[in-house]
Amino acid sequence: MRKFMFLFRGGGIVVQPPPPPAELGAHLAKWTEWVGGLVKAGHLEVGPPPLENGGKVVRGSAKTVTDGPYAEAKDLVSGIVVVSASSLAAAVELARGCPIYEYDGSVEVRPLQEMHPG
Amino acid sequence: MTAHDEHALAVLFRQESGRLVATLTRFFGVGDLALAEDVAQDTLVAALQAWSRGLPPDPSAWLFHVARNRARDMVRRRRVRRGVDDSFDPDDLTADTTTDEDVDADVLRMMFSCCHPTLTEDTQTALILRLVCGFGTNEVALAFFSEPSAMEKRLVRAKKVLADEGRLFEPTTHAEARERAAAVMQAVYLMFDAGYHSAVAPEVVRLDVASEAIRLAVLLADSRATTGPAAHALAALTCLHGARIPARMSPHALVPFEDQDRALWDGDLVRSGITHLAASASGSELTVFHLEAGIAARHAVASSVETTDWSEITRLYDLLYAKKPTPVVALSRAIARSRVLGAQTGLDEILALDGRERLDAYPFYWAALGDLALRLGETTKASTWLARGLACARTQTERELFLRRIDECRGVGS
Repeated sequence: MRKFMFLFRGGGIVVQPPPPPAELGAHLAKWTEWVGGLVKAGHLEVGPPPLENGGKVVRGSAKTVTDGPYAEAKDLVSGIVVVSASSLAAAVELARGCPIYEYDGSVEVRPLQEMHPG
Repeated sequence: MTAHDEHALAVLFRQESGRLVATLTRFFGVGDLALAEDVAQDTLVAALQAWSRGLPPDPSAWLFHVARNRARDMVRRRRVRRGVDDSFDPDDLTADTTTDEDVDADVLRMMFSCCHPTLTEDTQTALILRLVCGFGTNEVALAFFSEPSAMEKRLVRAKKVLADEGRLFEPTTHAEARERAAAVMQAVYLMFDAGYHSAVAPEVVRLDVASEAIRLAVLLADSRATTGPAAHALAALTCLHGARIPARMSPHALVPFEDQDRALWDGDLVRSGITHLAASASGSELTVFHLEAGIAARHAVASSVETTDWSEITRLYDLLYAKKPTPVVALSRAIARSRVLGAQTGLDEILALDGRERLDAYPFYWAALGDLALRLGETTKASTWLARGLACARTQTERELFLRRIDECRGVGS
């Protein structure tokens, strides 16, 4: 099994205008179903807790600090999870089940380097 | 997870949104309604982000905690912007002391504020659905058979009326509540009606609108400042009609009253409806709500159409028609009278109703005629009338109802 990071961008968390409450609730049910499925099948690895929106960006040789991130909503990183899967293709298949696409979001699937001792 | 969970979470988010907006509006003031709505929305988005691995043990407490922190940040920022002479004390928001009773009081305050006398009844109801019950503009538009853009404009104008008022309406005591109590009850009544009878809204939205109306009616009946015979009668009416919804809509078709499986009626709602009806009889007041609840109760306690106390129902319809002389009430009264005086009398009365022409496009007018003709064995007349009903049916479920009925005519005739 290899480990992969799923970088979520955009989706229901950042879409504008924000969906009405009932839509958000129904959308959440799809997330809990998807994540629950990953947990049940043993794919979900320990990763960071959920992100808060907002933060700061430090940039350039002057180390300028700005409020941010101010990417386009669809490019904004809205979450991160780590999963294990047998191959990149298998990980992509898992990512295809994510409900983020309902709100024009994307999932970037990145293999994590295997750490070799020594 | 199943579709049921999707619906359960949709309802949870909607209800919590209404509660959050009501409480946050108390903190920010009604002039900052938009800010309260934004913070409530942000809070739900934070929940979407945080709950994908599972819901916290007390979702409502989680939401209020997050909303409170956000509200406190907002107030702090505003203080910095405006200087220190701000009337809001952020420390009010820091303690986790908001109880369910506080939130109920906030919800009542918001309902009464929505029923501003310069707004029309429909707009008051729409505003309650939007602000107090957390329905999206599109859902409110569906419930009122309106274009979403037109509904959005209407809601924006209505919110401005609230903001311009500068303060929330405080129904803390009975005397204070009295000024708007009738308007608030009427709004809840219209909300229930929109949910129960709307021919256009999708089934799931309608049922949620009806459930919310029941929740608010019971809140009015059970709250110190708003309770009273009329409030109990309204609660009874919504519970007793609401109890029939599972039989009326099940499985996926509109089931005529006579054919409903009474075992599907919601026993808990029937019981709470009967309890509210008993409580509504405490004074000399006899409202339209009393009469409609009384009629619904006679149906709810009967085991079948045959054993129903139709003469009492007819008497109640006579009283109702005196207070509310609409063609639809006249039609219902004539249907009840047909159970006492015979199908032929009912048929004659329905054909001669005052304001009959206003029922031409009302499918249930033709359904009633068709049913009575069928009872008399006049299948040709019945199918002609049912065909008229089919022609003005507004939804697929209504069309299917008429098609089934027309089939029955053929069955009887052959």
